[in-house]
Amino acid sequence: MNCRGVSRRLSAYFDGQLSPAIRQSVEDHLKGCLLCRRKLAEIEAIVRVTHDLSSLRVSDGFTDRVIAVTKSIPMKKEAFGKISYRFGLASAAFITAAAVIFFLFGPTTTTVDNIADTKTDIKSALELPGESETLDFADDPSVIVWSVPVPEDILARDRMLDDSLLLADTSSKIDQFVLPEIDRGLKVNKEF
Amino acid sequence: MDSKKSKFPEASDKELMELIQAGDDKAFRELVIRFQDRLMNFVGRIVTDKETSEEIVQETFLRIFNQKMSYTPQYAVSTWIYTIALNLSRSELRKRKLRRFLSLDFLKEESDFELADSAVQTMSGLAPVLQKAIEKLPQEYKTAFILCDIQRLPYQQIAEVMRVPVGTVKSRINRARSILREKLKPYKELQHELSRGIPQTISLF
Repeated sequence: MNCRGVSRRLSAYFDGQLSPAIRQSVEDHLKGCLLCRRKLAEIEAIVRVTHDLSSLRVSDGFTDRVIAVTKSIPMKKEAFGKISYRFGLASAAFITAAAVIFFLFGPTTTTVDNIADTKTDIKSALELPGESETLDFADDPSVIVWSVPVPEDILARDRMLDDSLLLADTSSKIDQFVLPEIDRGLKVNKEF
Repeated sequence: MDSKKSKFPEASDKELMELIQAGDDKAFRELVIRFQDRLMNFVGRIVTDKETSEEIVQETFLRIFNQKMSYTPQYAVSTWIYTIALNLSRSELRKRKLRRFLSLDFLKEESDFELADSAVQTMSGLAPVLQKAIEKLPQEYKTAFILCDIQRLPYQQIAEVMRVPVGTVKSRINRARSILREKLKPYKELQHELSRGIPQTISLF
């Protein structure tokens, strides 16, 4: 190691902060270099005088003044402060999340048109009475009669199931198709 | 007068901090007594003004008191305290720099901020010269030098306080000592100091 390398490490060498290998290299150099030995002696002298420098001290009554100032500060409940801060933060996050979920997955926005549609859907599904109409009866105008609008397909089905209609149709079909066939058969039999 | 008789002679710094965190006012008082002069000797040599230094030391203890829950035992208590004091000192120096710039005082000599300590006048031999030379060191070299040679902290702790790698600390301390050596070389007091005896490290040979 040359003088420059030793010079850069002299301070750490003095403080015992070098690895054993580098320390050995520095010591090997110092043995043969008067100039570096002198630098080391100067560092040691400076550190020794620095250690002997009189210490600066606080003035009398400093401790009491510090304690008095700390007591004059309003007591900060740090732990509670942190808890309340965290609780507030958590509450805000929960409310925000709830609001987002509500707007994304909650009931759709209700408008006047939708209210009307919804009413119609419910009526058709439950077959509830429709809009009320007041019928004026000559006898009693105050009587309110609820009209129930029946869908056309339901009327057709009911018509098919109506016994009287079925019988009437059947009898007409018999007159039209069956009886002539019977008459024709009888005629054929008579020929044979 | 302050009552400097320790009520917690056996308690380590970390044990004291635990008590302070639990709300023990007497433990806080003990911490103040334990560190006040050490901090004054550190801050006073950086800020070089006794009144301001004492204000900074007081502010350091107030920060410790108000932010006691933020201390974690990962670091030594002294590291935490020195870091707070150093940050406050740096802040003060920045303010001064700005004030001097705005008032054109930067044209004056740096000696305006010499250490206001009566002890300087009573120093003999190399001490007063060394004291002035330390004050004029570049800020980061001065901080590393004071923490190492006045506060006698190990390199690792200095690195933690200054928040720089240990290698940087080694380099800064070496540079500070080299500058001081060069500045003191012309003084006959250094020669006298060298003649006081063979340095211990040289005695190895």
